[in-house]
Amino acid sequence: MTSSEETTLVKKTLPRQVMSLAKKAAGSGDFLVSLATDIKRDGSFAGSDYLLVNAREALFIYNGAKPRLERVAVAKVKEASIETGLSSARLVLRGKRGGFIKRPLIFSNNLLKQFGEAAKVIQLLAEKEKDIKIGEEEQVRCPKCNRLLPERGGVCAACVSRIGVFRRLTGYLKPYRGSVALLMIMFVVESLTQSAGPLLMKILFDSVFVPKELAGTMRSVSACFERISGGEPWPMLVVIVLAMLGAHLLYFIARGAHSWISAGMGANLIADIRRDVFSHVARLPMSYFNQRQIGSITSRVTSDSQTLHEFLVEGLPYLAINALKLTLTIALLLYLNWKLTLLILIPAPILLIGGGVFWKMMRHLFHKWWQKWAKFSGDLHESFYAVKLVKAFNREGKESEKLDKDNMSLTRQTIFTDRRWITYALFIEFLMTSGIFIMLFYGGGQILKGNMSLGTLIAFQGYLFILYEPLRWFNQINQWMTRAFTGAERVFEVIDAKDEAGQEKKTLRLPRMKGDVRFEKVHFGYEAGKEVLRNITLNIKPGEMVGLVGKTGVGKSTIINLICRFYRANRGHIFIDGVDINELNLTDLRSQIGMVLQEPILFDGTIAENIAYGCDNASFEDVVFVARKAHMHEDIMKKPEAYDYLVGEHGKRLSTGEKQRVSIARALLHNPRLLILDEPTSSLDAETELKVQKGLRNLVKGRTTIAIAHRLTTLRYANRLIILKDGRVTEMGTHKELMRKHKGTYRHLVKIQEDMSKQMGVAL
Amino acid sequence: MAKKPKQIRLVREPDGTLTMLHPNGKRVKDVRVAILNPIDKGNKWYELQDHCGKSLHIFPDLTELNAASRRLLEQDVRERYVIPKIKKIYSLNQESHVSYWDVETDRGRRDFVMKDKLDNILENGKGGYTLKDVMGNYFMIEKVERLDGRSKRLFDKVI
Repeated sequence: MTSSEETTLVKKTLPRQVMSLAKKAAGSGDFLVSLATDIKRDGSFAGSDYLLVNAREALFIYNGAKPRLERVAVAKVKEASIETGLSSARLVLRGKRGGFIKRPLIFSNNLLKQFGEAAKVIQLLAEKEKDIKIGEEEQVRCPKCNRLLPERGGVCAACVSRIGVFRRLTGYLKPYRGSVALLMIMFVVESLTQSAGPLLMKILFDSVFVPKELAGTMRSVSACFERISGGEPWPMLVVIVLAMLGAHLLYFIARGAHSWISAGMGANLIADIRRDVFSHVARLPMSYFNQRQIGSITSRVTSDSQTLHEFLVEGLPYLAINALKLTLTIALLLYLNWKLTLLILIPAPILLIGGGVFWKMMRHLFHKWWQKWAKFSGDLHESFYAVKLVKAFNREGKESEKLDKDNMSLTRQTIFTDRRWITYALFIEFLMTSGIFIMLFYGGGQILKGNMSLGTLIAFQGYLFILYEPLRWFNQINQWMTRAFTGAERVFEVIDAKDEAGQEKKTLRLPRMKGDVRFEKVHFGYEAGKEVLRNITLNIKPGEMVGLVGKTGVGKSTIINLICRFYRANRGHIFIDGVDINELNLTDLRSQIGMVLQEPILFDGTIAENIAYGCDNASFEDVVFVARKAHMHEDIMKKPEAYDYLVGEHGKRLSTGEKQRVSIARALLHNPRLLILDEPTSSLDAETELKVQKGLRNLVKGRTTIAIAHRLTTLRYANRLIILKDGRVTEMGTHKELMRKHKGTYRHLVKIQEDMSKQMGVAL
Repeated sequence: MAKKPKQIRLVREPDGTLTMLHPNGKRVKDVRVAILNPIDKGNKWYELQDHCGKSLHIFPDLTELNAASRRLLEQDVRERYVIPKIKKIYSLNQESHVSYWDVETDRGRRDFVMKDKLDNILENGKGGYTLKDVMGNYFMIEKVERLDGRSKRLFDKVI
């Protein structure tokens, strides 16, 4: 089996033999890192190699008949990094000459985080860093049952504490105490009135239709009706039928009331949970989103909360009512005739067990059917979406073949699933009806012997269906509850995640930022062991416009992310107006930063609303003023709806250039002290770029601006250019200064762009 | 396009890195191997890269390399491309949209978790499948028909 050492902790308990070997070699057991791999050097899964690191050296212990230890002084390490492959990765230590110091350790993706942290620790030790922080623990396996989790730090369905989750869920019921009480009353009324039906039927038969001497149990209830009606059959018939009608009416009123209350209460309850989730999600740090798939977070707001809704609105009431009904019915049946009751309960265990087995099988079949359906509809959608491409490449026949294959596969699965379902339904139906034969045979015999009344037999028949119906579905309750509680746990996990405000130890207010930005020896990587920024030191003065230049992936946008504090530096410090960014009040910081991104983000609404986004106090006059400054006003006025023009989802009804200028106008209205331009003109044509450039020139006036651009024309107004290569600052200066460097990166980039422009016949 | 691979030799340096020896006398230290089509079941295409990931050579198979170079390359591939072949399924449980696997592979026993099966199962059209677990690890079933009866039944229940 896979090693259980799969959390992001870099200190794990290793086998005694390994530890004693390491302690003996190191002279102490004080290790910063102790990890086991899950792939051996020969690529097999049988056993592990080990890595232990203390302040001076890294110990590699290779597993074999006799463990072999090799040591590396951390001072000899130039670079400790992770090289990823397919399903595997390796920890590589390189020396000053670039070669491996030791043969790399191999491990699967399951251990990527832990070994990433280990690489970071070794690198920091090699650089003689004293302040070594280790990343937070994130479980890969359930700490209780050791089963792998469906996502890092996720929830183990098998180990969810149902009581704890249920208690927390019921906490959400507190504001609806009145509704809950009313619901409970309705459940009782519903159960009582439904159970009264067969009982009244028995009295009707025993006291009205057949001679009194044959009447069985429930004499006292019959006597009560006799007293009301004076003992005459006709008045008695009327009284009993009226009683039955009353019970029937009450049953429907209670059922209606319960549905009405639970619909309102359930919807409000889930709205409360959803509100808690999405309001918390918005405050979570970017690193939270970086580690998880957006779909996974969205599903907690949508499908997990929907699962909870189904359980609370349908499942829980179903469970409560049917438990009550079952108890009442069995009690009544035992009272009427205990022997017959036991006999008709014979199919119950078969119903429960058989239903369980069948349902498990059906669940898989439904799942498979759903998969085939999803594949068919996905391929169909893709085929229609790409119809132009399909026609252009003469692929109509091939596409039809593919769809037909999907269609036939779906059809076969549908037939198979439906036939199995019919078999299941018939089996259950047969079991349920077979109880009637037992009842008729034994009960009929009892009537013939004069030991039981006809009314009792009829009451039994009525109760039989009340009894069997819930039994049919009771085997699914466990699965139902598992799903609901896992969903609840996943929802609570998001609510409990530490938000950005919670991560702030202390905050300093900065109501009016000057715009002085300073980086001091900053290191950063999104993933452990992979540094994107290395030792960045730079100083940007208030009002200065600085351009960040470099190839894709050198860390330009990462610098922006750190200034906005979407992430925190792994090492080093960032100062804004001389204050450490981590100590600044986040609202003060972000409210004074304006951004114009490569892909402008617009919301579904009017142009005016999009410009005014984030500035609730902005007047319409302000909106028009900034639109004019952004050179967007004239284009807005070409639309009949002008500023009331609906831009559509993601601004799809506007061109990219228009969207960009709306976002410039928004940034102008925001009046930030620090402006960030992240390749705002990269996707525009020359004419539109010119318009956007005009808007940008107005925007940058009087504020600190950090601009990223591949097209160096965007940076022509920059006071200074910073050139990045492999996460490091390699050049810094004005355009003229950098062009004087004959072998400089900037000069090289300008040359390439000039050549490209010449080729395209466009002057740079 | 790629030069004939037989003209190229690989040697393992004492520090563990691979060096590529070109017939023209050029020597590139610290090279690594990448596969252009690691999941596809067809013939593999290989690339030799320098330590920055820059392409040095692309070639369609290893047969033209000399035996020693091929061994070194295969060793590197085995470390960096781990697609275990599933030989037996011990258990396979489906819970909601998540499936839990415990399998025997050609590299040893392994357990893994899969979800969003539609996106993470690739059918190779010859009765085989490539599976990707939640951690991004790949597994392969060469032919479902070759699995034992129980494994086949378990597989068929979920996939």
